[in-house]
Amino acid sequence: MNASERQQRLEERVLAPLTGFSQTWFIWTGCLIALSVLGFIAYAYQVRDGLAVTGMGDDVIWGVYISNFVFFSGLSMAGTFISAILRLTGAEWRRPLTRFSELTTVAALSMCALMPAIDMGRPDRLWHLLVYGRLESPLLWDILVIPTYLAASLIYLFLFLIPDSALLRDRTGVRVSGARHRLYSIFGVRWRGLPEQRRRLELGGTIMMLMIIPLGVATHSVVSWIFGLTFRAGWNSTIFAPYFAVGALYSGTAMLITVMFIFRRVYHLEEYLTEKHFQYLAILLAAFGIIYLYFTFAEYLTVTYKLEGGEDLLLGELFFGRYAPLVWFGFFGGQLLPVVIAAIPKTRTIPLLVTVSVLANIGMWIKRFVIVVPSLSLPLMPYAWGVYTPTAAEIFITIASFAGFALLITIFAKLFPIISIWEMTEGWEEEHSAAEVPPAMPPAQLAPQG
Amino acid sequence: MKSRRLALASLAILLAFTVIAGVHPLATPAVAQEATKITVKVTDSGLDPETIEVEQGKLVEITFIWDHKAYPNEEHIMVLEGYNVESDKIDAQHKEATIKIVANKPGTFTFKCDLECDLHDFLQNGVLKVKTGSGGGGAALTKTKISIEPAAISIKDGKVTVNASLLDDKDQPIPKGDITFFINQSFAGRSGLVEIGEERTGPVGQARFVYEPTLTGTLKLTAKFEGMGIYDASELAVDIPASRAFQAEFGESVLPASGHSQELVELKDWAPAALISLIALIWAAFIFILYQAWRVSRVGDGGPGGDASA
Repeated sequence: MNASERQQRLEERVLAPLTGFSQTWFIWTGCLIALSVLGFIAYAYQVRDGLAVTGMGDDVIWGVYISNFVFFSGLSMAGTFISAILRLTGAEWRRPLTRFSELTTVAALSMCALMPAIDMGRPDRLWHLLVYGRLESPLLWDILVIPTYLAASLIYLFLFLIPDSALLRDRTGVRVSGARHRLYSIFGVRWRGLPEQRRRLELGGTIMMLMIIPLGVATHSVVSWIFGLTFRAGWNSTIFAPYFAVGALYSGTAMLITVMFIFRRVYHLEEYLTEKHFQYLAILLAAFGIIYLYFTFAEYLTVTYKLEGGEDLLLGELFFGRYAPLVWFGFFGGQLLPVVIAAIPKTRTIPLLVTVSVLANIGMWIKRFVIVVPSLSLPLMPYAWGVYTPTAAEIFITIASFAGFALLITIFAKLFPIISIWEMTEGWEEEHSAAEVPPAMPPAQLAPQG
Repeated sequence: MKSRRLALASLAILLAFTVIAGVHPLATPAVAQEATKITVKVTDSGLDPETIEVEQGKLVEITFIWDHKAYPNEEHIMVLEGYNVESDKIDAQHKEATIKIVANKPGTFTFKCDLECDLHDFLQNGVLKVKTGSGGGGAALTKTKISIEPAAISIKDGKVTVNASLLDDKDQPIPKGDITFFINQSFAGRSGLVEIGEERTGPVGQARFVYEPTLTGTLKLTAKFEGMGIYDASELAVDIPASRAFQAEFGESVLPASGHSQELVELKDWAPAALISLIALIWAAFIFILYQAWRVSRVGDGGPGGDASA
């Protein structure tokens, strides 16, 4: 099969879900919208009655919202980061994954950006942050860096979506509504695959690739410094920034595996998302997991060895007290087991990988929770421990944030191809050019047909 | 004609007086105006009356009278929230205490007993309603000033002791005035007042404040009085010499006042500007990239590189 036949086959497979609406799709999307609406109602209730409706108090001032914030920021790391690294290093196997990566990043980062606003209680306080915020505070660094990273991720997604949008503009025709066609025209920016257009797209794309990697690292470092620069037992750590960044890569890779698996099954993309892609991602997951385990060991060893005031109490609560079930599940179920399964070739099967990826993300959410809450529960004065239990409002908002994450991906996948068609075709053409002498025509696969 | 000019001149003078009076509408010093006197009894069943009303701008004297039958050992100190004023203690021996205010703030304010007495819960419901006045004259707040003489600042064992005097416009001491102390602190390019403590003036209007600096050099100390009853707010800033306590103990050689720490502070001063510049640079790059995307759409329109036949 030559490149053009392969492209035609890919288009049929990838574009088919964009034009039809199945009953399952309506049920799935309806459920996600319902959960999001429930979360919105819970948020309206919280705005009306104040943060008193949450389990947070004057001791435990952060709860599940900030845990979600750190978790979603982590998910956002891997996507674009992996996409940019693989593109820069010219890894050919990246081609069917890049769109998933970029999409996961944007969806996760959108939910991540909402969380501090929800945690503040009154949304108008966001304005106060901008007007009265002090640049000395890591909280304000976050306010600066998260929208910057979100903007970068959106631009990155948009740039590499241009050729596929142009393809949709030219191919879908009457099969989609006028509004959708206009959307494709806007995103397609009159792309015709001309050399000058390719040059400009490559220039913008390369700059974005180079920028997005330090931006991703900076974002997760800043998130970690919210804790690391605060005087609190459990947060007094010099390695928090790389620890958070590696944790983010680990959970982001696990989420990528999960999202890819779902689309592979639902959209029947087995031909393009092969076992090889899962194997490679499993190796990445194992590598990030091992580094994360090493950081965990280094972090706890130094703290446990010194047992400074407050740390001993906190570690007692974490390892043997009320947080022990969460901590040990997070360690064994969320870190050790996924690393072992992903590292051993025989166990690296797709079902097992997906299972441990889900476990890894549950474990990483728990890890975020036990970083945030127990340290705040520990009294700074000789008083009783703070108590925090998430309330119904917090639980509904948390569920809604996950539903919102899935909803964004679902809607995007209904509007745009979930596999980057132009990148796949480009790869086949390069393969073809290398095999034949003289080389084939310059790639112009995205010129309108007919 | 002459009488007409005289009448016009009189009218002008009258008008001028009216304007002046309008700018400062019949304000008279608190002590000069006749006070609205109100009596509140503190009884076994609570405050009597519980609610009192006055007009805005009036000088008000509220006298609290100890009037217990079944609780002979009760003692109270009455406070009026919002006007920062508290009475002397009243008990079986000293049955009356009066507080004075210039009711310049409209609204509802609580007055209550501030001691943990047996009847505490029954003495929390006093309400002073200050109704917006009809626009007539009002009493003026008595001007105050804070005085800290150089001799009133002493340093020993690294601790700075400051004696601040709170005086009225006739240099009479004001007792029971809360003076809050701040130092002007700068960090990473910003500066502001950081509260370091609060002291209350004694019978001779003096508050003694002891501060152990954690910084070296000359510090700007600001003392603020937020006003109380009939007294207006005032503040004063003075320079105080400061050195770390351990320096005083071990000598200057341990850590010089202007050493590396100062360089670090200066370095931090640049941090916000550097951060903002970096973020601005990143956004500039975004704009450049989006410009490239826009140029993609212009290719073929005859612009640079716009050869559609390429």
